[in-house]
Amino acid sequence: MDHLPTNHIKESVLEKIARKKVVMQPRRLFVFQWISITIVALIILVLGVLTLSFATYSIHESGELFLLGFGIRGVYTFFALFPWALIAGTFASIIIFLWLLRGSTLAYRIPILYLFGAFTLGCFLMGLMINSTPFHQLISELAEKNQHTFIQTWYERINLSDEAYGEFRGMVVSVDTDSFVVSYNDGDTDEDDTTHTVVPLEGVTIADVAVGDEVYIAGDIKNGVIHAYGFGILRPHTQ
Amino acid sequence: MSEYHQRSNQTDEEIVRRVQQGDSEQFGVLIERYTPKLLRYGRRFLSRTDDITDLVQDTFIRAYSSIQSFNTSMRFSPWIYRIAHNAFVNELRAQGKGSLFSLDLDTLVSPLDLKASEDVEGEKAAMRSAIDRGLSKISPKYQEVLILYYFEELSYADIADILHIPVSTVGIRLLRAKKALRPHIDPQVLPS
Repeated sequence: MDHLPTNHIKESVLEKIARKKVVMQPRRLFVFQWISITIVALIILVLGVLTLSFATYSIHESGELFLLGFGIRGVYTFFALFPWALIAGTFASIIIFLWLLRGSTLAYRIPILYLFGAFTLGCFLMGLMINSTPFHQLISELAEKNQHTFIQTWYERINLSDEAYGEFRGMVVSVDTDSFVVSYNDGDTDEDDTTHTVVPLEGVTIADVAVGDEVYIAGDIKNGVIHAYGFGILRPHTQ
Repeated sequence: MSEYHQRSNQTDEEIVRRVQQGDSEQFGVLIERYTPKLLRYGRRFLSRTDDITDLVQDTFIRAYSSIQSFNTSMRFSPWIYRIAHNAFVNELRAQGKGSLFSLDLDTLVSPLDLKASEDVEGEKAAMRSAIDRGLSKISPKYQEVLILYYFEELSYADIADILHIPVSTVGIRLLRAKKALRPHIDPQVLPS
């Protein structure tokens, strides 16, 4: 039944091949395409890992993790300060990575959400591994040394205070019975580079605070006094 | 052994290997083997016969152009069907008959342990008759899995490779396709 069309199609295609109207593309082209796509995909995935690594590093280094122990207000502030853009960037990297490799058997045989979940978990774990090394300290130092302002800014922002969200960072300069004084770090040198008294609210104890400790404080500032609903020691004083 | 006998004994993958090494004439064997299948596949998918012949010819032209990208340790059949599938889908889009590329929840999440429940031959024959009657009345997304499973008699794994979807999604789509067919055919003919 299909002999006529079969012969017609066969003759037509073979004729085009014989007359070089249709040519076989060289294998090296496909190898090059495959290698290029794989390299681009891996670079994007690595960027995703580094972005997620930086996000978790900044949460830890900044002291914002303490907020989760400061009650409902602390939890609310934690999520308000959460690096959502960095997380979105990581997710975008994973999605682009999976889209670039969509032609591979692995990419389509497994449901997309399962793959996405697996790669997200993988990026998170790899990010934690990176954070256990001095990688971010090195990058920060290199950025400062080579004046890479963009990267420098990202790392400097980790340790800045943000009055609007009620978070403050500084070094303890003196401790009293029911309050302590911190130097105030907001990343510039101007008239508010002074010290502030920190008065803990009811239920917050300052027994563990010592001079020289770098602290993270959550609270409200009024007339130069920080009324803290919670604080944590970022880096204890060195003897 | 005669050349004809040799050619008919060779697997598709062996023939592709020879084509890749420069024996272009061998590609004619693949055309002979697959033209009836692809024409049959296309006829159930598209309405205009002229288009189908041209599309099948284009399929072989694309296959020859990219033959060096084919890994001969894999099976040739899903590969050529995939090229044909893309050609038919593009034609459907050009005819304005809807997109098969709307976000499909089945490909996002589907049970990984859903085993293919193979129909026995008697059931398949009954299904083929039933499907023919209602095929044009259901979505192209469901048409293609029915065609590939009941008419082209491909396995779930092959269909997954052709459509680039998880194997479990093939099973889900077949179930949904049969459900979509029910209103259009005699329920006694359609196996439950």
